[in-house]
Amino acid sequence: MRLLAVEVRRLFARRFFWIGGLALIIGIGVVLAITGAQSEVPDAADRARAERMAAEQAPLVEQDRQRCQAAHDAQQRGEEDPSFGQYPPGYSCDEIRVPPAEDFLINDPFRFTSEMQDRTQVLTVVLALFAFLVGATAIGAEWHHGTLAALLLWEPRRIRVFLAKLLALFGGMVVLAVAGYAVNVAGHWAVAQARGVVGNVTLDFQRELALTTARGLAATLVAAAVGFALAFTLRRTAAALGVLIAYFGVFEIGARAFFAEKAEPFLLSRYVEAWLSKRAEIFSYDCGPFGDCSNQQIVLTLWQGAAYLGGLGLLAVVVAALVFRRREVA
Amino acid sequence: MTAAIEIAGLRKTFGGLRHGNRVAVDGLDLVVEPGRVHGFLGPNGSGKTTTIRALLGLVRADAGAMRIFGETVPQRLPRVIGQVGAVVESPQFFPFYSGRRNLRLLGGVVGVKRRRIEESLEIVGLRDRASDRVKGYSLGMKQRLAIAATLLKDPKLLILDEPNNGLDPAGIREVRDLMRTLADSGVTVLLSSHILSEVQNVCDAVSIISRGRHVVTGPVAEVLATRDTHDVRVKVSDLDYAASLLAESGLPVRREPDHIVVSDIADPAWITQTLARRRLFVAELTPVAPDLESVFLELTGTTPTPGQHLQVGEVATPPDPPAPPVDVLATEQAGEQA
Repeated sequence: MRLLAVEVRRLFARRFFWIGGLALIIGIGVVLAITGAQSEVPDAADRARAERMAAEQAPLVEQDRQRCQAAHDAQQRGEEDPSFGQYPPGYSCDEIRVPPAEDFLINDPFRFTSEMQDRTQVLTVVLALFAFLVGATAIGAEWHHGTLAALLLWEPRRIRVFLAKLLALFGGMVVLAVAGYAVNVAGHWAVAQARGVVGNVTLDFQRELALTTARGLAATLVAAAVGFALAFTLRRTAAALGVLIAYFGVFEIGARAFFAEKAEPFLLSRYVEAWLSKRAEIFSYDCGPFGDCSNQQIVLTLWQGAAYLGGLGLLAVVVAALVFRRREVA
Repeated sequence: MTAAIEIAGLRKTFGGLRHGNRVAVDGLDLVVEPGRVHGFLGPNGSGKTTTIRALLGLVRADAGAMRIFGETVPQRLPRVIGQVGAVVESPQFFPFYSGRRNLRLLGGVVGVKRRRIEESLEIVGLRDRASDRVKGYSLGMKQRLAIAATLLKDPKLLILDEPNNGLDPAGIREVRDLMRTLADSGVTVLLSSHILSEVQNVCDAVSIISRGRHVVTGPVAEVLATRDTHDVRVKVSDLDYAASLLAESGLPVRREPDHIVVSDIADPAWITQTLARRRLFVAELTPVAPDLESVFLELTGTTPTPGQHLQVGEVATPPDPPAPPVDVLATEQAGEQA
């Protein structure tokens, strides 16, 4: 516990951690300011008109939903589809709902309930990148200054040292990420209240937002662990950053350039998307030599994303720990 | 009594793609008795730091056995590390933290009290600069901070690898006094240094290694005695005449610019008698005691030779004697038993 406490103090004493955290909060503030400035505030007349249009749409939408249901019933009975394939099997008729009145506003205000999920995911990407940098720089600095050797003269059990540093990193990133998410949600809610539309904050919305945030937090910790593990293994912050840049800047771009959509099911970014958005769809359009073309759709599920990211993080950490256990520390 | 450090047959090879394997330590044996200041000497690249690193679990030995206070290391190092303070080569700290904060971070690992941190800073003379960033410290100040870090644990064994690097004369004397004080209170000190006068002044015993091998071990006086050539420095008015007279007796005589050196002389009075008979009166007659530096250079084969540039790891002549190693302590004990 003492070692963990020391590592937490060491992490929180790092300037990069605080400067980066402050930059993150300032960045969120800038996004909020721009959102507020760009939000076109609806006046009373616009709102009344939108509500009237939504009400007018209601019977049409209901007719559409009934047609969908009838088509599905016919498909189940094996009869001819009255919609001629407009509502294929698997299409959810429950998704045919009257759009909220905000969707009919002439002005384009910031809509809290409509946009918060996407904005949480964007914040997650920023947080994950920052977590990678914090993880890599924290341990890269220790290798650079030789303080790891000094620490081993006090605690020679290397796996303990490794785990203490990793847990301290996780703790620090959880604090920072939770603060970031809280500021992000509270700030956007305040902007929506003042200059936009909050919308209907249902229990479903709250649960989805909480789950998106939790998945984002998990992705952030995986990124931190991978940055930490790479810097631990390669003994340099720059080397860890090099791997990151080489992967996303060269490998993924190169794979897409050479193999087009065939490469997609293997790329990390698609699994990150699947994890954050609960699914990722990959479409491929193949044409044979005789002009016979076919559409193919691959769906990466949430759990595939979880397995890919979790496996990657675990592999990086285990390799780094094993290498450090046997490594000679100069 | 259990030895503070026991090393037997330590071997360590560093591999390299470009230059192949390099043997850093080659079957080294070393015993450091408790409560002593033990000098650990060897030329650059002779394997001193590698030995210390292996002992402290920082590098993996290829072969050999090591014990600290009877505990096999590195396997049981966690059991004794709390009793071992060590400075290995250059002091390493976070440059952007203050000296005090660096010590707090290290001491926090074993729950060192703040008062002890302040005491250590006071002992090494850093009290007034403890709040400054280490980045602004001179090498000597960093060295003092490293020594302060070793004192935090109240160690029973202090391993100091070149602790005088960068220290000013006052600092060197303070470190010397500190080592003596600690040794007097029962702390064992293993001192690796190239300042041989310091080693001669402060150490009770010394071990010399060369090219990763043990050359000699024993109390400083005994080690010096192994190379005592019984030289006597003689000053007279006519050096050439005196040299020829003494040489006639078959003694090795060396002519220096302002004196002559006579070797293998059992009774210096014979010189005054011999010269006085020819009306040459001795102005100075001084026994030349070997110093650790000359013994070190001779044993390790690193005595500088005009026109020859010795490379690290090279010897001018094979270390004399490279094998078998002389263990003066063991010889002494055997003599006592007989």
